[in-house]
Amino acid sequence: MRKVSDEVLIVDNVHKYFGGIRAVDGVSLKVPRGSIVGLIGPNGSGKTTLFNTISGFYKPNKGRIMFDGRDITGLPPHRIYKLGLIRTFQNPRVWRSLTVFENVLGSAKDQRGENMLLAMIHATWASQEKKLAKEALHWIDFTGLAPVDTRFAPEISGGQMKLLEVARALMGSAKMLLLDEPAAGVNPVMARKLFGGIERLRSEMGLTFLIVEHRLEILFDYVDYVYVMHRGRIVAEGKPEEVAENPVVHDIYLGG
Amino acid sequence: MNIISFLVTYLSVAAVYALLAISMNIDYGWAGIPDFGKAAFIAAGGIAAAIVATRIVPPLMLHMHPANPSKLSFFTYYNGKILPAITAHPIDTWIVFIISILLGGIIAAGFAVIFSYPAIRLKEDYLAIALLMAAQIVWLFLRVYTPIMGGTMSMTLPSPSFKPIARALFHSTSPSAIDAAKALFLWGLVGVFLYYAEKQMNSPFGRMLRMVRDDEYAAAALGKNVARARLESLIVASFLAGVAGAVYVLIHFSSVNPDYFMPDLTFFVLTLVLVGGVGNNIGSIIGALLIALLYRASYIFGTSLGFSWGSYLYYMIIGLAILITIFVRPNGILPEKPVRTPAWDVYALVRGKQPWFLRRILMRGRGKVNTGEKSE
Amino acid sequence: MGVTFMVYSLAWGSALALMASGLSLYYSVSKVANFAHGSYVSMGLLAYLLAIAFAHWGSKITGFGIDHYAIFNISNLWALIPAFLVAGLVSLASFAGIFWPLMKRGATPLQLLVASIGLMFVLRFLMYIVAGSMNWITLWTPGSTTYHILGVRITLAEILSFVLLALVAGLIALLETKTLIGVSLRAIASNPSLAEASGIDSFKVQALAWFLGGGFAGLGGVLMFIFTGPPGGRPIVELGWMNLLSIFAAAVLGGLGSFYGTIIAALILGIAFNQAAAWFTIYLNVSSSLALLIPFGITLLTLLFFPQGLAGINWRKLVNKIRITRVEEEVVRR
Repeated sequence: MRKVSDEVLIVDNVHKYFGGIRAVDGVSLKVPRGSIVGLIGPNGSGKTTLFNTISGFYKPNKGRIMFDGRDITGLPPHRIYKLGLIRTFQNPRVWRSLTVFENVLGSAKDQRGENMLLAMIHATWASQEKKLAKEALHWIDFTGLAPVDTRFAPEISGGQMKLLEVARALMGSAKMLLLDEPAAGVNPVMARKLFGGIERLRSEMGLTFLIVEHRLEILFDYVDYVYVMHRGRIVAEGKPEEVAENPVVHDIYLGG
Repeated sequence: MNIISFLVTYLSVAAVYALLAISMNIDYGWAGIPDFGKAAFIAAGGIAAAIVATRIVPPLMLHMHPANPSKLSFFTYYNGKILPAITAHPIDTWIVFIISILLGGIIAAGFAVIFSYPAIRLKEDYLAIALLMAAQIVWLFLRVYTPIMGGTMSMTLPSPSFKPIARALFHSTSPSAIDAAKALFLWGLVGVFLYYAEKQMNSPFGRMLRMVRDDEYAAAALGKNVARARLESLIVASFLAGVAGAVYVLIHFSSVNPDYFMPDLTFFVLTLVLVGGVGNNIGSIIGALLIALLYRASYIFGTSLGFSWGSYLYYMIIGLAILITIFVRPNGILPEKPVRTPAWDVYALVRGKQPWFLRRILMRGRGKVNTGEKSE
Repeated sequence: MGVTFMVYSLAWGSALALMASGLSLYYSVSKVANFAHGSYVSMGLLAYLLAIAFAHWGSKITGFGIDHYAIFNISNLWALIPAFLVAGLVSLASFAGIFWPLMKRGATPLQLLVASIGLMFVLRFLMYIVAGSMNWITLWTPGSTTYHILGVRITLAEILSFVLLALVAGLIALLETKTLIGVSLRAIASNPSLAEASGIDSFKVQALAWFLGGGFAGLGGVLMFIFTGPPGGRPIVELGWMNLLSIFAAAVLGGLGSFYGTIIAALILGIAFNQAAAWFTIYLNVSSSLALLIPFGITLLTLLFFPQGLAGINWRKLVNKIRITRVEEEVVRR
């Protein structure tokens, strides 16, 4: 029996060291199901390291990470993806020799044709491939990438790459998305559209989001709860309006 | 030497190179693995051919004792008794050939699993060097351990007989007819390799390999098991390399010697892929045709110069071919094509238009196709 | 066997260390796994032979005639200078003419590696023209002056390989601590983009590393030729190619780009290879060339556990672990 809790992601006292540097030094946080949670903090505060640790790219030195009632501490990234926890990257990582359409399509879960032997037998995967292609086109339309869907991925703009990363994650049937600076380098109008889309996904599909973002003025309009990281620790947390008035947060952002 | 016979020999040589190049294109081109151990995977085909000719076919087909290679008289026994007995019947030579290519592929795939175990997780530079060292170990071992293929003494192998094919096709068994039959057979084999590679790679599997090559972090984050994908591509490519290796020794040389599999061979095959087009299977074949011509021409020209260094002119040609390609067209003559799967049919159906780069390929027999603008 | 052989093994290892440390030096700043490095080795050897041939112009210097003059003795030591310069300049030229332009275009590590293979073939052919014109395609090793010190037989080449290795290690240490360009070298090695941002002339620093790296390879080439000649009677031009894998084995075992790690790794591999070669020929009666299995095997096994080579091992942690277990043992005993 799996215990289904209200918190879809529980990070419990996670530590990650590099040599003598304590990049993540005892972080605990909880993300309730169907919520949008922000994670903020100055550069070098350990946010991206925490993301890498949650998504399986680093193994934590100490601590536990639970996702959807399962212990995912130390699992490799592709296993964590299978459970429905999908991340995006701070600098978009796209597959440069594939088109936008293939970038989205290839991110689907459990493709039969990816098996070395079955790939030779067309009939075993063709119908699934066609079904997935329709789904991929749906997410391309959803993210507004339709005008560029046959371009090769490096030919699209930075903002479109951010959208492409979101579309890939949705294609992987995510339950929860870890977004690393989705609005960086995107103009304010498009950034607001992006966050509007995130809200729609939450209300229509019940997805959960954990978002690292520097542009607090946009982020605070959309999130339910905010964690503030500094030097590898959580130093403040609360509703956006509480955090905005917290003197500790002001000190960090002004004092460096 | 007349022009026809030059052309026929050239085409057979190019066909063998094309087989090797297609195998290199799968792991180097599609999956981006610097497979500098290719010589060892090709050697697997040679090992298989030697084992089949000395130990498997004699007791199986001829009811002869398998040769005991540890005895000094091994070569005398093999050359005097077994070899004439096999070559006496065309059927037996073909049985040797067929068992050899299968066994060669299997041994090579086994090598791939063993070699890649320590190496698959390494960075590109380390991986290249680790695989090169593994190939060197195999080569040294084959040179010193004589029972496999007789050490550095060349061992003659029963080449499959093309006489029956020549008789059926050209109603003649003259040497030129036999050579033509051989060239035809080899290009048929290239066709099989090409069909296989295209079919294997134009699938979600091929797409996954490209993802791993382009960005392994993104691939891992979106559910691809990177180490496993690399291992699988290495297995597929090595299987082909083993088959090509058996063809290489049985038909190209009709003999086997560890020095055929020196690590230089890897770089030669790499040149074919690089010049022809990285990630494009037809490009590999074009690279093989082009480099085989340059290689042969520079060898003939170099030796006619009358200098002691003339016979090394091909080093210059290969080196310049690599350098010019890297500077002028870093990805070779033919560019890489998008992965073709039925998904594009769905795309065309839903969007009502073909993507511009597939329009020509998918046009055949698909009825009406929008001739719209460059998909914008 | 005994002391004499141990000295030889170490000297062989030192020659390997000279060649491999050169590769490590420029790898640390440019990140090019350069397969043309073996050509610099052979270039050094050819320059040494040519310099001696010019000094004795008019005598019988073509073909095996050179063996008589090229013997490694005190009066021929000066010829190491052209060996160093020629190999260094060829290395510098290949960086400035090929690798730097490619790096500026954003070539991938794999493309750089493949370009180095092309360069290797071209350089090899050019050397064949020189060696072929002098009728030096194959040569015996000319040997070296021999001394007996305290009952140990030691050759000049052996002494010189220790001296040169010490000089090279000292030179790099001085450079890295006392000079601006050496400090820049370390800065680029540890963080290229930051170094560039802080105004370091990246090209100049890398060019210096390539010049020195190629030069060290040339010196090592002369010594290796005196020790063994090209293995198996292959053409002398192939000396670098035949040793390329050992060079890479040492560099990888030392942790690609770690200068001192590479020197230590090369000495270890030198001892392992030569002892294994002797053991193989005496007890197993197989060719000594199979002994290369030992250094390659050591390197592959190390990579299996420490993918970054010796430099990637956290020595302090390892030592601490051993120390702690000892303390624990003592506690248990009491």
